[in-house]
Amino acid sequence: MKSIFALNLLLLVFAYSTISAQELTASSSNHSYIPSSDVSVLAKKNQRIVRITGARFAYPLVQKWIDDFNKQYPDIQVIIESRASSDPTQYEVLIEAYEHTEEIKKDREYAYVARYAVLPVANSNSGLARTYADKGLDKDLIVQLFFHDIYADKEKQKEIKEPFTVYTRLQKAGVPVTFSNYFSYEQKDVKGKAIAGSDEHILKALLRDSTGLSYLPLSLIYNHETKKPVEGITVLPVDLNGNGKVSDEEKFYDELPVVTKRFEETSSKDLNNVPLAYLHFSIDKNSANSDAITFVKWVINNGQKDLNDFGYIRPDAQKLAKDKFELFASKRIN
Amino acid sequence: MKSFYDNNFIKIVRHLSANSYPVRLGARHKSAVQQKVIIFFVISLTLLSSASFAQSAVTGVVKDSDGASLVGATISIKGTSVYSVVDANGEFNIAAAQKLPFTLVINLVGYKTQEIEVYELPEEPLEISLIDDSLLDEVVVTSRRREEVAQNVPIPISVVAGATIEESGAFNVNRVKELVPTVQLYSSNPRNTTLNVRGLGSTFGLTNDGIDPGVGFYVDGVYYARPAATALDFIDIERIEVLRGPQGTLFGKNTTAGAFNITTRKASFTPSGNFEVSYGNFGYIQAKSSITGPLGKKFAARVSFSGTQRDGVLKNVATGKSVNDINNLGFRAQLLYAPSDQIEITLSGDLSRQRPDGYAQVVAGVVQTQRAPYRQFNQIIADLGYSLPSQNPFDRVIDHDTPWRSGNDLGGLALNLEAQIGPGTLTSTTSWRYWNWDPSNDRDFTGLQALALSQATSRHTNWTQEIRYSGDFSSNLSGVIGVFAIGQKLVTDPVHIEESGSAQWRFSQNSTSDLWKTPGLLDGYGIRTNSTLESFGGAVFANIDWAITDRLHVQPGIRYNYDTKDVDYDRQTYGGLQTDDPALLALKRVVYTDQAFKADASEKNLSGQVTVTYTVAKQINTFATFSTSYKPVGVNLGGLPTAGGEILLDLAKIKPEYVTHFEIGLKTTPTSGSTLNLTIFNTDVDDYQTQVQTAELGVNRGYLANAEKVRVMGAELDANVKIDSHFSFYTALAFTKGEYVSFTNAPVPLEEVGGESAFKDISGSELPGISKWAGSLGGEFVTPVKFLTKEGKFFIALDTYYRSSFSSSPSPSAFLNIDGYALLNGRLGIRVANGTSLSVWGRNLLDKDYFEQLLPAGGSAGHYAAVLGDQRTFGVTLRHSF
Repeated sequence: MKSIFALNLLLLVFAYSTISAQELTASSSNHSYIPSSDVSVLAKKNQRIVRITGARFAYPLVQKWIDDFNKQYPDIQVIIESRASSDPTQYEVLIEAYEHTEEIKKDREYAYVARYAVLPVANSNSGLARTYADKGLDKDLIVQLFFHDIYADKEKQKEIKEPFTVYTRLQKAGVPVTFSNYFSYEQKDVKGKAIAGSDEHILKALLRDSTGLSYLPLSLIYNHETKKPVEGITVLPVDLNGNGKVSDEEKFYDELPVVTKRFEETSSKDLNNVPLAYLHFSIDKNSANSDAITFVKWVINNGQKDLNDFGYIRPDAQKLAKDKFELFASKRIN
Repeated sequence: MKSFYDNNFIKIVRHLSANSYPVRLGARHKSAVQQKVIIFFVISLTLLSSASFAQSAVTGVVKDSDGASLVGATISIKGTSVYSVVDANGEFNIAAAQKLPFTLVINLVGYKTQEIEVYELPEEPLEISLIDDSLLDEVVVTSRRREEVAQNVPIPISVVAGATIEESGAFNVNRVKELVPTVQLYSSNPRNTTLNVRGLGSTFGLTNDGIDPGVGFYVDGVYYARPAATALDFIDIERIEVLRGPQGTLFGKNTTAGAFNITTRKASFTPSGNFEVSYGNFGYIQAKSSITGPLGKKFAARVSFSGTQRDGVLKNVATGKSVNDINNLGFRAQLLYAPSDQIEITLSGDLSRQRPDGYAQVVAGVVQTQRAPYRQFNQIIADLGYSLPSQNPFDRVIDHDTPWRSGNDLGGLALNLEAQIGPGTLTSTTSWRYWNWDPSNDRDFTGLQALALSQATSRHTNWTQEIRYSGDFSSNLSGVIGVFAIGQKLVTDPVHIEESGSAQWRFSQNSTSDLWKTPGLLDGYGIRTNSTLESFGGAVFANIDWAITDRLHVQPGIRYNYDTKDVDYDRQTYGGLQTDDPALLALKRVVYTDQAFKADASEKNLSGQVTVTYTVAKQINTFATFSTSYKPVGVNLGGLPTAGGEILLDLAKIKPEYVTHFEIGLKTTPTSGSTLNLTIFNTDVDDYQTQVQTAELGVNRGYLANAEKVRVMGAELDANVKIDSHFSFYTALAFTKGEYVSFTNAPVPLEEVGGESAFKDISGSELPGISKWAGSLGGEFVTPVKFLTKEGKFFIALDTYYRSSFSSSPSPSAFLNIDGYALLNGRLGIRVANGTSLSVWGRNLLDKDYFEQLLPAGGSAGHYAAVLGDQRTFGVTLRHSF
């Protein structure tokens, strides 16, 4: 009897550890963000909880903000939560990477805290990387490589001899939406293998396939420590000035700081074929608690210095709209 | 099969996924403890029963691009035997693999297979979209000598896919014309075939070998010079593109009215094969096979065979046999040599041997001419004690005493080289072809020995050489530039024979003189013709696409032609009553005379075109084209008419045709599954080459002449729509109005023969062979099925065709007109991509009796014959491919 109980106990421990491992694999992130059910426990211990969820590729940046914020506001616990519900009211703050419809937007207050750029990337061992790291991609070639288009003028298409496999997100998400919309397509038009997972999984898939081709935000392309592209992937330079050719001046993707500086300093009319979009915080206009507002306000005022370091582009001052959020915050907090 | 534990385990683990984190944080409450006890036992039992461990499920929906659920789609985990099927609600639920990531493969026949790599188990159901194969299969054409999507090409094009041809029992060009209402094909036999587009191209009625067709007929880039090619059985057809309007700056041989651009399946390094057998009514049997595969690393080959037999569809009471049967054999072989990625060389050869008892025509009516009563057909046959076997042509009974024979042999060799050089492709096509024609006709269409023999046996050979370069010359300049040469020789083999029989005197009798009754006067009296036609044509052509902006393109084209023709014609009479009596000899000369002439003609010509295209939006392409075109000089190869006993030598040569053409078009793709195209055109032809009939028996096939000017104008609407994954429809509607703007010296129609003049002004009257309205409408329903263990598609399709009435006489006649008619064709079956397919097809399902063509009999006695449309035919086709 004892041995059976011991065996069961052993199995139980094993089962839990396996399930936990699976969950960690599932979240597949470098950070241990907290599942929703944990927060309710925390909430019982400490009422000053702000729950954030949303675009997962932004979590490292947001975590940095949280860490800095906590130094100033130790009583407010901001928690990044694995998104388990599509109901935004479950979270105090959403961080997302594409624009919602006006219907959704009317009840939320937005803070456009950063911009992110999306670039085409290929497995470094691929023929594509060997050829196009040098030749670069113009708009037509990007469209030809990435999108199903029955209206495309096949006559104009180039012959691509290198085998390639495009990887894209299955579920609707900010990065694929931004990438597709920039080239006047929808996410569903991206061809290739779909990934059920997050943007980080695109990176993983790319690394596993020597014919892999995809699109990623700078924050995932570059190693946060070395500031160089993640080993094994190559950025395919694009026709930045839109003149139909990729010159040597348009190949500057070896160091993250060079890239963010160039993108920030180049006027928008000369910044072609680089999908850029805003990362925004949003809170419910009516029900957001004051701690959430405080956090967002803090990010607006203090978060800009970290952007380049994490692979983001500073937002346009007008779009950041500090004053607007301040006004909203003053009404809500007071 | 999933076990009870599996199912419960999945539910519990999913529950855990959402609720188990308090364990890590150390928080507990009572219900959690109770839950834990349950989990403890369930997990223990599950593990002990060795069920899948740590397993969960992936759920989702599978839809098409329109959002419709794809019930029956299969979801499997790659590398395992685990699969699930989308249920009636459009949902699936599949046990996840033990280890992430894993790959889901989603399959459904008719859709592109989708792979999804699962890196994390989704919290919410997956939404998976499959792309319909038909949306991927854009219609790609090579009309501009490079592969392009048809909707982007500023040429009105109709495309008939090889699969449609195979499934509908359409085994030659004549049987696909109902799908393309802008095409008119009239064939009283392979030589006398008129292939027209928009009513223009070749002469209506009997043809004359002395002119060139205006509709180019190309098979894999090789020009087929004689219209007899339209009788070839299809083998390995990939698709047929019908280009409407002049295309001279794109194709080597001038194509003043349009072009048939036929593409066959190529030799492949991937082994595959096709075996097909069909059975139908009237003893129809057809067998086809085609095999392709590698012969080493750089060589591949394809070998194809086709054999077709069908019993006759007309009963000949004179012989008791059925005629107009089919007896065809075809063979085709290709050898592909690919020494590098940039070069492909293909040597191909084909042989076709057709031996039908065929192409008999039925007397369809008798016209009262303006000749004296004793020269009317009914009086003539009454005097001879003869009556027609039936007054109703659709009894399909004939009484023909001269045997029908139509030996039709075609074949050739072609060497095609394609080399990627610089930014484009250099293509060289060299060909040699032959056509041997061995006919025997009963051209009086009766059981009387009026015309005892009519045998215009011919041997034709031609060589062609085309070299062209097509590609992108710069970022905004692309096009094709080429040179083309053709040499042709057509000889009688050894002679053409027309011979009178015992009843001829009565048909030829043009006076009441009793001398006509002289016994044996015309028995065996005939003509032997020995003729040679040698011709050469050379052309340089270029067509450039200049992209002024992304949306605006200008496409100029130019062509320079040089053509020369030499004819040596020698016709000698023989037989009949040997006499020195001048009066009797004069009567013999009424029937046939010696005739000999030599003529040569040459012409140079510069023609061109300009097309402007503007893309209004991605889905809307517009174009306007102005072009001039030219059809070379012609020579009369069927004898010349006489006037006052003198040969009209002026008619030995006829002038080239000059075509001025304008059209505007709109090609739209309203949705991803639909197209809607509209074209409006006007074509003026100066010196229109036409074949005119004469009452002279010695020129009973007619002779060539120029009408001063004709005009064809019209509008064409083509639409295709795929409603969903099951239903698709198409329609093609053509309004065509053709008229002789000026033809002041045309021969009179049959009913006016014997009147005051043999010629009349027919300016303003309608051109023959053109229905004002013609249209096709059809639809297909498909749905996935399993057939002999393979995934396939069940299909059922109906195709309707309508054309309004049209004139069947080069000079407008009150009698030789064909009423409008509608046909209904259908097919159903199961198609399997690599496996066994079955189709049942029916043509003319309503068994409509209709004429395809009406032709006056030689000598203009008043009777005319008809080419009858086939009655209802049906059959079954079994095909296996691998």
